[in-house]
Amino acid sequence: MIPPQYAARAAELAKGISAIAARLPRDWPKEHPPANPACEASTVSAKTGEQKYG
Amino acid sequence: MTDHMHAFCMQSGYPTIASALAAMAQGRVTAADMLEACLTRITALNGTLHAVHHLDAAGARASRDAGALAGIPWGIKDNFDVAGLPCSANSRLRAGRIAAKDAPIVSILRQTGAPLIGKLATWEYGTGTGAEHFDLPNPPARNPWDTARFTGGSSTGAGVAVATGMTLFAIGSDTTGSVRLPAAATGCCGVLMTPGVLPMAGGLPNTYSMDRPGPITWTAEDAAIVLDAMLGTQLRAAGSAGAKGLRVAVVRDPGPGLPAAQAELAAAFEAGLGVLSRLGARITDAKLPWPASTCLDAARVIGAAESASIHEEELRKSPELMGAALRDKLFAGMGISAVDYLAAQRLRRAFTEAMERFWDAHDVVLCFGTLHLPPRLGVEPESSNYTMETMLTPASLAGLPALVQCTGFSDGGLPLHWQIMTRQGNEAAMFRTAMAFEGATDWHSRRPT
Repeated sequence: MIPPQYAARAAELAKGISAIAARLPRDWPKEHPPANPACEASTVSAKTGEQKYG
Repeated sequence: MTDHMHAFCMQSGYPTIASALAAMAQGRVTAADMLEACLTRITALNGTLHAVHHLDAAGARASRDAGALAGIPWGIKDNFDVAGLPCSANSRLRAGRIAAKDAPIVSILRQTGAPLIGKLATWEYGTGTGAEHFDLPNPPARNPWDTARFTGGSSTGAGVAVATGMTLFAIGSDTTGSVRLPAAATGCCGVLMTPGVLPMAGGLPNTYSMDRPGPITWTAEDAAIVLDAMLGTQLRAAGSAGAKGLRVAVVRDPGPGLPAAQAELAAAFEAGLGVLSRLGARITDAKLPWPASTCLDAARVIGAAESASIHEEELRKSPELMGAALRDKLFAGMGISAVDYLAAQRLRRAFTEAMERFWDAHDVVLCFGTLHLPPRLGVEPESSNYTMETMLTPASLAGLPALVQCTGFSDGGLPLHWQIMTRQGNEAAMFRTAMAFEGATDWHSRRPT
């Protein structure tokens, strides 16, 4: 998926962000859910599915 | 703001919105005068500062001249649609794109009578890594306090335009600091409201779950005026109630992995606390449920993953058309596992719920925004550190209202700042704090020359 000329850079950056993610606390009770990532003010109309930008 | 300060602002040639409205009401200037003054400043300064991407002088002159903000010129970040104007978002991927209709936030502001002068500078698609690679279609905006320095981003033109009087207010968008960082870097006031209060629709998304539009003004009072005109709120009146009795939680420690705030920021912060204390605020030291550094980690994971999802097709098909900062952020996002993304969203829920309990004992939080002075543009790691080493992400994660305002100037003449946060729906307390501080200090009499 990532063009080959960028593969090395992408791998380096992925390693960096994975290290950041590894610092996040993980000791939640099993029933503790994630936040809902649905945007409060969506850029897509819920009614029509129309994308509201040009 | 006092009558004396209003008079000063008008005489200095840098009117605030409050002083301009007063002057127009008294017949001392006209709406046309105000607009032409701003257009003259743009002509004089934009070749150096690059704050305006698309100027629409004719459109501004044709604006309706009635309404609460008639005669108050403004600009909007070039990631929002304005009918008939380019919406390039400073990206080669969007070259030639003309918006068919106004974003809702533009429509709201048109009803206030405020003349829109055009589109303001932004990082590509309103995002990046904090690094400046000088590889976008438009040259980077320059900080008017020192043109070798960064303006704060990603709403890079908004603070510059307001600080220099090119416009009297601007609308930017903020995911993890893109309204608040430009305000901090240029001495302006930047405001985030409770999510959903101001519409983000019609703005190119950076993330699905953290983007918010927000005004940038010269003073907190001006921000209240703009928001009152847009929303029918009474923030200017509420903010005039003073700081007496406000429960102010002070959070100085950003947490592990982040540096302490630079000394001049810290000194201005402490001096500002003294001002609020003398005004009757009840100040206590406090800790957030999770430190700002942990919130930053979660926001980086969520932000990069969601940005990569939004731009996945473009990244796959045309990465060479992207600037390096956007491409790097998206590559990082592509490397995040679903489990890591959900770990960040689980922390986010826990943090949001804990903050709801936090407000039982406090009305506002005072903390830093970024931990650095405005950096030299393109100098690493200064530039990235300014954007990434911040205390801005707790408000991003929990959807808290937040306001950044000027608290003074460094020995080198660079703006200093602090950040005020409050619980959702309690913007009045945030404005009481900011306007009380503003009324007791005179930092706003200084403008870039």
